[in-house]
Amino acid sequence: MLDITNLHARVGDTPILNGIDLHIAAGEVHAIMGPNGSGKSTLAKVIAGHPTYTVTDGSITWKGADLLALPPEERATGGIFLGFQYPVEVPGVNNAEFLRLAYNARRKARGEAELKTAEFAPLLATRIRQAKMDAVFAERDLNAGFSGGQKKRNEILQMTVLEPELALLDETDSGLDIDALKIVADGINAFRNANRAIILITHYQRLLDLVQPDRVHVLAKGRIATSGDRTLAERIEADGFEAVLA
Amino acid sequence: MATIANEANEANRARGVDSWDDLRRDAAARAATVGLPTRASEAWRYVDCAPLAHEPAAEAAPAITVLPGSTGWKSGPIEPALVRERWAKAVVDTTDIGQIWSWSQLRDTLHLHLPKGAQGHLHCRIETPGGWHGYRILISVDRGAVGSLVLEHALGAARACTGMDVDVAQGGSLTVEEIQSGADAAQLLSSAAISIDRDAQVTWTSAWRGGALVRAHQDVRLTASGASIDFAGLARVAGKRQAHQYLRVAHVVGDTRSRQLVKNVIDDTARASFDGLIHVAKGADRSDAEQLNHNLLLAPGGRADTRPQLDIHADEVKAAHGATVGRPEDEQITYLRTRGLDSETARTLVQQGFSDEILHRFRHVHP
Repeated sequence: MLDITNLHARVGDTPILNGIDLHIAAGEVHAIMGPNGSGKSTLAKVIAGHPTYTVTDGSITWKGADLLALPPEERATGGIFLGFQYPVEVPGVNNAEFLRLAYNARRKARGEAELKTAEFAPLLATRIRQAKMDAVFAERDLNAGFSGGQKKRNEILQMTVLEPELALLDETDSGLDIDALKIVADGINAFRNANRAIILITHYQRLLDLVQPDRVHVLAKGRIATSGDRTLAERIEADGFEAVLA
Repeated sequence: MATIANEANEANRARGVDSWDDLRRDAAARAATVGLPTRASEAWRYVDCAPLAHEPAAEAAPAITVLPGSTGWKSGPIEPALVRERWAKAVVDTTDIGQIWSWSQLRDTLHLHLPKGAQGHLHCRIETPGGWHGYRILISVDRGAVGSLVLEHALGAARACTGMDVDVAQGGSLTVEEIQSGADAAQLLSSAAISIDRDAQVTWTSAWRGGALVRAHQDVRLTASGASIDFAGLARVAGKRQAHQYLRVAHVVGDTRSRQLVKNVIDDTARASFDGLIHVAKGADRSDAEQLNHNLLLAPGGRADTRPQLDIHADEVKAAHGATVGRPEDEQITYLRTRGLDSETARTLVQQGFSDEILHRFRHVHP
């Protein structure tokens, strides 16, 4: 589904990714861990097409096509979703209307008819209930004035509405209290199925206790230093990155 | 459509009770002394004053019109005795050229009065298709009255000088929606003195399209505890237009509250400015004030000037101010693109969202 080969990327003149190789099949959940500055968020943003980053070498193939040739919006309508570590506030843009536009962009790319507001409302109401969010959030401005936890839950809401085939969740667990973490984990588990892949970027074992990954990778200095099953995350929790990377 | 003010003012003139002549004469003398404003004047430092040198030719009759459907408000010309009592000294004292011209070129007056305990809504249109005209509007909200007003400035290739006095008595509530449209050559000098009494509140939202020179000057006085004002303004200017907001809020006593949010969207080589000052007087403890100005520059030739200021002389005051000038946030646009919106749609949404924070406050008109 997603094949990353020898991926190199930089910000300005600073190299961040120095040869990533990663292969993810439909139905798999991969966790990416690593010390601060190891390139985890950069990897997610490069896959999503964030324009701040320049790919200098390597390739990303998505469902057999060259992903790097596509602008971010076409990656999104093609089924890739990035849950931001720091979701951006967009004052004045209504959350529900924004979600409808995004949902319709995806439908349009699939050759499906766009939904009017009244047609979209029941779907959104269902997803909001499933995310255990207050319906009032739909009518607020996109992320504006949301707490850190509310923003993260709004990212999960967007994911469940847009139904991507690959979800990149960048530290979605940070800033959540234990109840909110459980709700977010339930949302991810409900989303998980044989046709979808998930990349979880996290510093902590606690999310991986709730959403069990098929593979765990540790990034260091812009490369995947080691990979393993979920016991690797337990070792990191117990001994720290230095011990695992030694 | 009733042109109440025009008809009544003409009737007064016919009866020989036009009390404006003295004021016009005094104001004309003041105008000659004060001269045209220039950027050397502190209050006009951000304004391109060149258009003021061009006096627009008279083309069509101006009018203050109260639109049908108004309820609760009483409207008519300002009583001649009140004109003399209230403004004879002000005309001589003021240094605000907008105020001086509103008298020296006075064409029409209008008194909008909401009696004690009443509720009402009124839409007032000030049309200046051409020429140079002054207007005076007195807005009185009596004790416990709750009213809303739409003030609409419709300008042609004209210069309109509109002086407003707004008095909101104890426990009164006034919501104003002020909009402006006009030709590229339009000039508008609007001056408002707003006085808010104990436990009274004013919510004022304005939307400007600018012109050759559009400047709104507001002096707000919170005169007793519990008084509050919530002011929001939006200027959307393009081409070579300019729009300027000069706003003064005085917390004369404590336990008063003010909010100011002014946003400007500037395209092409247009310009806009915000010059705001919150003054908290000595002893006005527990005043609560906030002043924000945000500017969105859509083109490299546009210009935004901003000067939020605090002048605090009391203790236990909550006061905040801030300003931003920038282009549409790349991070916001990227965020929307990662959800599948193309860059043009994303940019439009971000710009629209910037304005909508103010536009959503309008209930009776859609500027």
